[in-house]
Amino acid sequence: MIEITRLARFLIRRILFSIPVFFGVTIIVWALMYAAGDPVRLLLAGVPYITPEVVENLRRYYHLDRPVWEQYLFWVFNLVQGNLGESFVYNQPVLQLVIPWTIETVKLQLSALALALFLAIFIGVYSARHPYSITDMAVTTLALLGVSMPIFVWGIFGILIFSSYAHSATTALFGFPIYFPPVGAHAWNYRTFPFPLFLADAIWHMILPMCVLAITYMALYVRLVRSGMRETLEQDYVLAARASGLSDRKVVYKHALRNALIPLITYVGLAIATSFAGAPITETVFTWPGMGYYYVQALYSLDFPLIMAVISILTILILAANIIVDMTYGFIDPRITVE
Amino acid sequence: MANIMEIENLKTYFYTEAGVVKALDGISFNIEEDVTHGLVGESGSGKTVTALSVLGIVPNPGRIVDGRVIFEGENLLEKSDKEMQKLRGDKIAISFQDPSTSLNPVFTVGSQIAEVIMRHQDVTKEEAKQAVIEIMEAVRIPEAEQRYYEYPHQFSTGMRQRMAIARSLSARPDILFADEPTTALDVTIEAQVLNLMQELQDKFGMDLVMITHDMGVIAEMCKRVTVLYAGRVCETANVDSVFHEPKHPYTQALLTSVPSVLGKIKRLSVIPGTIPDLIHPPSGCRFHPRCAFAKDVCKKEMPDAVEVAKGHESACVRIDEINDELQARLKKAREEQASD
Amino acid sequence: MEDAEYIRELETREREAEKRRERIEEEVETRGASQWQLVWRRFRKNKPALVGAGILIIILFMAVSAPFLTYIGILADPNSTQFLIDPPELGGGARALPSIFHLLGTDKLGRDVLSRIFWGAQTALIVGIVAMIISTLIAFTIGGLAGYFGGRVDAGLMVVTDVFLVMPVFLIMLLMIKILTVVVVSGFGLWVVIGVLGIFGWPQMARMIRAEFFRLKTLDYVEAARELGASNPRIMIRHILPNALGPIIVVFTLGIAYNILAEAGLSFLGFGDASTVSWGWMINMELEIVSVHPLLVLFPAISIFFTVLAFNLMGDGLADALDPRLWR
Repeated sequence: MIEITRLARFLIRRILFSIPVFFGVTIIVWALMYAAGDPVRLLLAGVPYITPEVVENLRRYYHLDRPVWEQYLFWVFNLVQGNLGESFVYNQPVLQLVIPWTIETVKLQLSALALALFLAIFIGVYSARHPYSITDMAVTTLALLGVSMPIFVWGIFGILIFSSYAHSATTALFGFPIYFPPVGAHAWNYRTFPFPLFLADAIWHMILPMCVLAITYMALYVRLVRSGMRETLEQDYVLAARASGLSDRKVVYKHALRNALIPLITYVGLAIATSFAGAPITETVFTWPGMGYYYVQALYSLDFPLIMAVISILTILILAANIIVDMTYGFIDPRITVE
Repeated sequence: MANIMEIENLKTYFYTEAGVVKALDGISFNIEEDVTHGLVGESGSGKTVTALSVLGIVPNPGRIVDGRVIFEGENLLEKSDKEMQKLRGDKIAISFQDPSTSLNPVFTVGSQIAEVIMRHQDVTKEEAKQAVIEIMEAVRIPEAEQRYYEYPHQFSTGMRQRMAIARSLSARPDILFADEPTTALDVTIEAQVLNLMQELQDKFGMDLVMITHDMGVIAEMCKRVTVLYAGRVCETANVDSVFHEPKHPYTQALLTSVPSVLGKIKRLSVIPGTIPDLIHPPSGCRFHPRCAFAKDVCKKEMPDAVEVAKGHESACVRIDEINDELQARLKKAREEQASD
Repeated sequence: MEDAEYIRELETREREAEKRRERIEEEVETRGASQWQLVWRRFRKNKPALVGAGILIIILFMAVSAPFLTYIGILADPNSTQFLIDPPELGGGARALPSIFHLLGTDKLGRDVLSRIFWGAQTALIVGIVAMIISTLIAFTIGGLAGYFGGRVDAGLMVVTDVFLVMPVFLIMLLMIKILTVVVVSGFGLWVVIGVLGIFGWPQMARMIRAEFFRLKTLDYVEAARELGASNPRIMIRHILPNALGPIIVVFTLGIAYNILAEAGLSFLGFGDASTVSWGWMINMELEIVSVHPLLVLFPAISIFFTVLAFNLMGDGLADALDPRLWR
């Protein structure tokens, strides 16, 4: 009971603290867009036969005739009511557009993160238990290669191997051909698929971008797990666990790993903002219909409501992820009380 | 008297970057049944490594390179890791020096003890918990039932040490190595813990091996003692004879460095020199560079401990020649201490 | 005879002990300038870091020598499209394969790829380092003020830092570049990229500097300087900063790597500067045809990779060499 109220208090406090941060971000973005000048002028630049009345009407329609702070407050007011405005380009309510994009982005990022963490833990633990072995050297080197190569290069060459030249390349590499689609999150006619096929299709489309993302994330995490495990494996409590006859698996994966995870979690919390923000690149490489891809498109057309919406949603997601990470942190390390 | 454990020519080396550290270089002694045994020596003499080697948990980059550890008629060093896992904690246990680091900070203390019990005995979770609470009460943890769910950082140092001991005792081992159980504690708690250990020893009927650098603890707790120096045995004998008639110059030096209860600190005679570099240990007797009685013969051959009196083994080759002077020096030092 | 041997042994042991003691004393007693000698000594023993330094020297050489080599005619002009009309037997044409005339071939406008790789090294280093200098100045100001004054100043500045830490930085960088290059200024492409990278690259470093200042400002010699009447800026720069330099250098080095990757990412999305020679932009330009001409993407990709790798290796090596826990 006490635990629950404490948790609730923690959540409320963190959410309250997140609100000014959220407004800070949106105000900065708003100020940037205001500096860009009149979006209608930009929107209509080069379009022939525009009368001043049309411009005036458009401006009034998008409330651009009001002072900038009033526009911002208006946007906030609408946001609270769940209205993110209307896209300049698509002529549709932004919210309707953004929801499916959000789902695709979150789906891709979370599965990549999960895959990366899962692999990083196993590989990192192995490396830490066999320091300076050949495998360890290979893993450490590969991790460094992983972080040093731009993610879009991994993506491009992934597509070359598994899509463009899938037949010859994968046969040469693995002895049998594998093909993964380089574009999109679903087959074009996925709406007609029965559920099992829909699911299989979605997973099939996700494998390539997910693996590419996982490579870069994993490269960071492996190094953290390895150094964390090397430190914890030398601790007295690990020796004590071993001395009390516990099996190797328990000693390593329960007693040592749990402690080694603590710095990893802190890091994941910090890295989530960066990884979500990297979405434009990965999603552009794979033409993944997520927020990042459409954000770049919206930038080309300076579709301001859409830009605002994507940044707001991503900021909220990042803030939420940070709160979750902090909660996990308190759960894993009893010395930290969730307060 | 029957031996519960026989250690023969045990060699444990650490293969570090700087070179091979010969932490244990052929030590032999027997632990007799129902006799509290003491392992004494300066830090770095190999006391803890002995215990870890017996349990087969020498941390990297250490390896047991030679020797035999006979327990219940079997050589432990020939057993597979699986077999040893069953023995550890169950038959042979160890409690570590620093309780604040030997308990895992992220699990409740209760669950850590219950885990050991469930590993070695076929009990349900609930039964294990009851057993843990029982043992927590045995080591005098108040409100054991509630404290079961607490984490190590919520206990005081003394209580943590008792919990660490409770864990090593939880599966009722036949033999317990207690590694410096009082070093991390202050004096008042030290006495409590020592009393408790004696009590538990009677209650659970186990054999205790005290590992310590403190001759006072040995005098209080042990019946038989092995003195280690730089990975070698100096002498093994009953505590009484070691205190009254040591048969090794190192033991004599160690004894005169014990501050008597009333003695002043300045009287503490410090042995000249430092503990040797174990990568390049001195030739012959390890102690000769610091020994007041060293002669050429001491530099040449590495002496093993042999019986020089009844039940008294010493590794000093010149013991017959120097025995009288050794005792005279000890007597003199004691008189000086007493006169202050 | 035996005694002589024994004495010799004793002497060698003494010498060894003496050497050990000297080493320890050196590490303990020396502070300030010779501390950096120690760091260098440790860095020198770190093989991966040396590999990184080696790669970096090559890249520095490429960057510095590019104008010179172009001037004396060893390298072609990176922007010259004259090879477009060269006959194929002279290695000319668009997207020509590597030949003796163009060691890495030509790009879609017939420009010499090798020359562009050399000039790209210059761009990459300028972007990485200048942007990081901007970030460091901001980080030092914000982190330093927050850590030095604490209290309300700290609370306010940390909210600002938190805002910058949680915002999807890359997206806002894209927006800012778009607005700055399209609307406000045109023609300063590369400097816009550098400025934007610099403006958003400071929060992590600011946090670290703040922590260092918190730790250092209570030390005795800082208190002493304050009592002697040193001004706040003077204390911050003359007394605290030199001691916080170690971690700053590590973050600086790793930050350069991040900036080079980010510039490549921006260029890849078309938010770079088409008029300067940049590896990222080279990839962006040939992307549409990568399945036919993968080499045109591979060469700049490898260049980015080695440059980033060099800075990462150096950063790791410096972190190890500077780690105060190892200073024993």
